Amino acid sequence: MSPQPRVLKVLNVLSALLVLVAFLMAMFYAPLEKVMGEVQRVFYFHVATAWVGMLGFIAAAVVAVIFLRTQDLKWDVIGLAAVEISLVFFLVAIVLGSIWARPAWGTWWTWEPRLTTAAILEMVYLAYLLLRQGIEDPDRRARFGAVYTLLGGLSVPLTFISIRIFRTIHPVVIGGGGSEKMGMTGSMVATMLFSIAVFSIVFVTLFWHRIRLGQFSDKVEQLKLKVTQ
Amino acid sequence: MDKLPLTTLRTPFTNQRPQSNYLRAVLAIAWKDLAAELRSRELLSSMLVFSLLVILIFYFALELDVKAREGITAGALWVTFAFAGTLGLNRSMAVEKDRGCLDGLLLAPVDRSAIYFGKAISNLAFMLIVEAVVLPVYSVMYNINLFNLGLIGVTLLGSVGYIAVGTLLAAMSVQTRTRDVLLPILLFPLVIPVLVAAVKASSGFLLALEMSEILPWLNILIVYDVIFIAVAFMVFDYVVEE
Amino acid sequence: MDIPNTFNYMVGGYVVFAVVMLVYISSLVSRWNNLKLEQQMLEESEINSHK
Repeated sequence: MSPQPRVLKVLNVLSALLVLVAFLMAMFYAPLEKVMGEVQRVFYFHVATAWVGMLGFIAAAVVAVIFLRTQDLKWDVIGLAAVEISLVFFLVAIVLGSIWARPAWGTWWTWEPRLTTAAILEMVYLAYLLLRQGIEDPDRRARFGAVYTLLGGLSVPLTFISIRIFRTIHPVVIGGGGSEKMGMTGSMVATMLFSIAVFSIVFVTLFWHRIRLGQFSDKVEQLKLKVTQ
Repeated sequence: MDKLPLTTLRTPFTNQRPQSNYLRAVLAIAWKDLAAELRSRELLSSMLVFSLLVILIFYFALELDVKAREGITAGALWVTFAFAGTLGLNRSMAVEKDRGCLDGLLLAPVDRSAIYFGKAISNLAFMLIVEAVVLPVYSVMYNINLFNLGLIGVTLLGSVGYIAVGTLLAAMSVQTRTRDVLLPILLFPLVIPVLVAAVKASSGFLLALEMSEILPWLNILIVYDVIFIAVAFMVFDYVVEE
Repeated sequence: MDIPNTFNYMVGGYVVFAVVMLVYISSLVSRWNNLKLEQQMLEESEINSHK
């Protein structure tokens, strides 16, 4: 497998540094929020990781369609990478959302539409991984994966809409409101946008790495088939 | 695998127009399952017994007073349908795979999607039959009148969406190592809009709410059904390719 | 009105972030290394089988 291209090596360093800067910004540049206190500072990474999760989700759905049209296995590697990264980032987003909810609204979980949809999306991703695990033929694995990703890509937005309507008709007593209600000052907005930009770069870096890993894995799998014959 | 050209295969259909050929294939596949089931009644009996057991379990597990029971009716019904549905889907596809019927069907000179529609229609029929038994039984056991046109309509719409996705996913899961176990894992996250909308709409009809409140849920069901029937139709080929 | 002390929660949040990222990145690294080992072994056995 070819060594890391120089661009990627640069991205590694850049991503790490930028995350550090974003962290410092969230800690020291952004003001202290009056209602919730220090815990509000996790909001910036919560939004940014959710954003990366969304990027991964869209990438996975688009790539699934491309794969079905072209039947070129290289798209399968990309699709798997997108799902895995989206899975990890949404996990962080969900946990941060939960940590933020606890002191703010006294509950670890609010059945807020975005949070709930993210949790359901994680189940879809896990189902996707389990589906792939149960298939040995790489071609079939790729096809089924793509079909399921496509179905998920259509179903999850509908899920979000239905939970949204569910919540407006049925305000939940247990949980609190969502982040929509937060009034943000200029420096807060700046920190948030910066975090989103930083994590977009982190997304590209990790995506690239995961794709390389997938390509390497396919090579080794082919080699294994050749040797065992 | 290439589709065999019509001219090289002498079947009773080769002299007819392609459109009726397609419809005939769909109906033939659906009828094959229904006829087999009429004779053996294996699938329906297991789905029915299972559903009735779930309803019994709900009664004891939830132990609610009469007022509270009315509130959970729609939810309890749909949980029952969802679980019984996976039983039916699994069995229906497993039979194809195990007896090699699927390979035989794939050799037929007809568009692959006809297999999907045929299976979906028979799966839907089984699910509707089970629902037609469960609803009156539930009415009697819980002393709630479920003979509500709106409720029946919602049950129909929801079942269509559930079976549309379920048939496609069952065709996939039956080809994996984990088979039966995988279907609910694949199906349930995707079918949540149906469950949410069906339960809310059913409750709406049972509580005789304003149509304007029920309409959004009906819309979601219809949109879901249309989208997923269309997608399943387009994508089924990829699922049964060799 | 007093601003509530939610410092611990904030720390918890960033710790979770760091831990998950580090675990994921190290899983990428370790999977890569396992593949390298496997590739080496397979290439060796391929050479041996040709002898």
